[in-house]
Amino acid sequence: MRAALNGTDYAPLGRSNKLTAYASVDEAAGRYPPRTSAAPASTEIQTMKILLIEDDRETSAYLFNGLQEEGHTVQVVENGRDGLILATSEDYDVLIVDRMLPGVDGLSIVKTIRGAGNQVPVLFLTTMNGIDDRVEGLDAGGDDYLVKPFAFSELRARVNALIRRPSIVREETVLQVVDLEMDLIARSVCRAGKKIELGPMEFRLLEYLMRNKGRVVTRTMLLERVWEFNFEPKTKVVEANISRLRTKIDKPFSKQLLHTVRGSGYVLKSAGETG
Amino acid sequence: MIYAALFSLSAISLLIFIYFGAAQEFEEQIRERIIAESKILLQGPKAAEPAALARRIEQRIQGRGVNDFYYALIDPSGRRLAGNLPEGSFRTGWHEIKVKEEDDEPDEEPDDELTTLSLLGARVPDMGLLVVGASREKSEDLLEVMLETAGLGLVLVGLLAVGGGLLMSRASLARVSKISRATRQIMMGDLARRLPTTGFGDELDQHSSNINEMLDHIELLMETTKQISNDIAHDLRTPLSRLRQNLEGARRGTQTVVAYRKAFDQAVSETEGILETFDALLLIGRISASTAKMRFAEIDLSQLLSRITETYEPVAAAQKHKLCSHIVPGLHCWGDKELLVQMLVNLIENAINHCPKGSEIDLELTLEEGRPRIIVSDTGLGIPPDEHEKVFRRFYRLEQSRTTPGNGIGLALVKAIAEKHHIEIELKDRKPGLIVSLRFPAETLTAIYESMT
Repeated sequence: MRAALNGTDYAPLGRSNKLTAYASVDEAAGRYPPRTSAAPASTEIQTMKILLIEDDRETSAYLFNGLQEEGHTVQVVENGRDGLILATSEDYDVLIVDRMLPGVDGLSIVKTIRGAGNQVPVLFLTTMNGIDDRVEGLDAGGDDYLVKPFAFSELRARVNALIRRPSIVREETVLQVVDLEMDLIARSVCRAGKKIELGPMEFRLLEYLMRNKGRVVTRTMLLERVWEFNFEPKTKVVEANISRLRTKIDKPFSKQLLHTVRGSGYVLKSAGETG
Repeated sequence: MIYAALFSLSAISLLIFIYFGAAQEFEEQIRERIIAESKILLQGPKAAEPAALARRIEQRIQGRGVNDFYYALIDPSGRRLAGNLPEGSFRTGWHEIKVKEEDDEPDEEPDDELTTLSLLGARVPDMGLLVVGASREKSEDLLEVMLETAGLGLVLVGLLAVGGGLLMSRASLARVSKISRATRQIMMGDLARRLPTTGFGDELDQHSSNINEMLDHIELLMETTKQISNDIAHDLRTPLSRLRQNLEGARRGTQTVVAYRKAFDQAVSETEGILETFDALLLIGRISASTAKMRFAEIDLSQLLSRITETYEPVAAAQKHKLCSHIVPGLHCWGDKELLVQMLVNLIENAINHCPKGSEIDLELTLEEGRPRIIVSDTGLGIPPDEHEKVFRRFYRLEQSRTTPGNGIGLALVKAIAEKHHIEIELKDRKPGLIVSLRFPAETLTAIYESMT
């Protein structure tokens, strides 16, 4: 689904008029030193090596600048064939692939990569917002799907969510954030030893937040993953439910765990936490 | 043509079969008679004496009628002792000779036509050869008549077959050319035209009917597309013009960054609304046209509605609405989960957004006459009964809602989804407020739908 735009976080396009495609690693790292942007989500970011396969110059400039500003290393190619060559010959942390490309199309690239056994996380970009298109993308091996136009914060949050961390690999039966505990087997939640009653959807919401602890999750991610809404609701569904969750897990306690990140989304963590 | 030839061929072979069968039968009968007569002659008193036998034969010849038996008694030396057979060579066993015809009618001219006699020669001990024969004339005549009539019949049949074949193929060709004429006209743009059918119900008619159904569907699709284009042109111009106005205003007006920021925010949210409307229109179009590959599956309707209720409880509470639910557990339906969710959410959000603060919103799921039924009702302003039909149109807004945010697409989408799922949707007045009733197809019908998709 198309994530809602908001007026506050356009990447500063005025920064660079020329697209420096094929930027080498060193060049990129030197030109745009990492800086803390308005969103404190960068506390969780480790610098990543990203391959962006996108033929639309405006979009790739937008993304390149934004991601580089976050401190990542971004390599841009404009057609599918080059993208496939690079993806198979070098190691990346994340691939951002446009579905519509000249030459080899995005879906085929990912299918080929997956066929070769490469499990690198893939985020699809597209203008097509149909249910079938989404499923097609995920079937081809994509991990997430973002419809243009989108706000940069949306992309940032989703890219971060895609990073594979070693700690995530093993199966957990208990999720924990500071003193908040969720038992996945017993389907129960407690904080500081006190049991908290949650309805099934509230549980799902908290589970998603806890699995992504420390990372910003956007409204759209919540709507898609927790409520499986692939459309934009006309009421403040996310806000109202986050609010209610807060009254149950935060309000009765001294330390706030569920934070709102203006212009981005929400994050579950202890304030002042760095990792 | 081929059929005519085949038919004639089979008729001919049938006739041949009958002819030879009859001929054989006749011959059998004649032989039976000859055998019987021979036996009678040879069984009489003093049959052992040639003279007595000869006498008896003569007696029989005396009282002979037309086409009765022929006889010849020949002694071992070859001398004819008695008989009316013409001269000829006779032997034992079955053989035949030709004689002149004996006609039935006495006043008929005796012609020179020959007929065949079947002869049976039997060697009588001490007496020589007894030959008894009978004429095949009658059976020959009969067979001749048969042949004549059959021949005539065959000719008639042949003519009919050929004639009929010609007629039918001409009729067929005429039909086909009519159909191709109609097709060409349709292709040139006359979408309302349909292929002609004759009402015979044969294959050609069936094909034509099927194609006509297809054309009906195509016409509907084109109408829908035309409608959508019109709607888009008409009603999306307004927000786009608004957007342009705002941006123009910002360009001409204040110079502060804050003011620009505000203008941008407005522009973005206006654009957002337009994009949403486009998406909804596209979705409606795709659902109506059945091009969207529906992901139909068995759905736990009770669980679906419970989850939606739980999700919207705080949303309603934020508007001081009271959300009540009454859900019968364990009810299932056959459908596309995403679309059903979207439909129900649309209705609930309509209630939340368009009711004055503090209204009551009720969600019900019950089983009525084997059919699941969902009711979304509220105590808001309701919809006037004369607009119950119109509200499902794209872009339709009620007068009272014209100032509230919304694009009028919501209910059109609800209707498209309901139709795809064969759900009966009905609006009723709650006095005050609105009742939206959704009747799902009977649970037993889900098996049928399963087989259809």
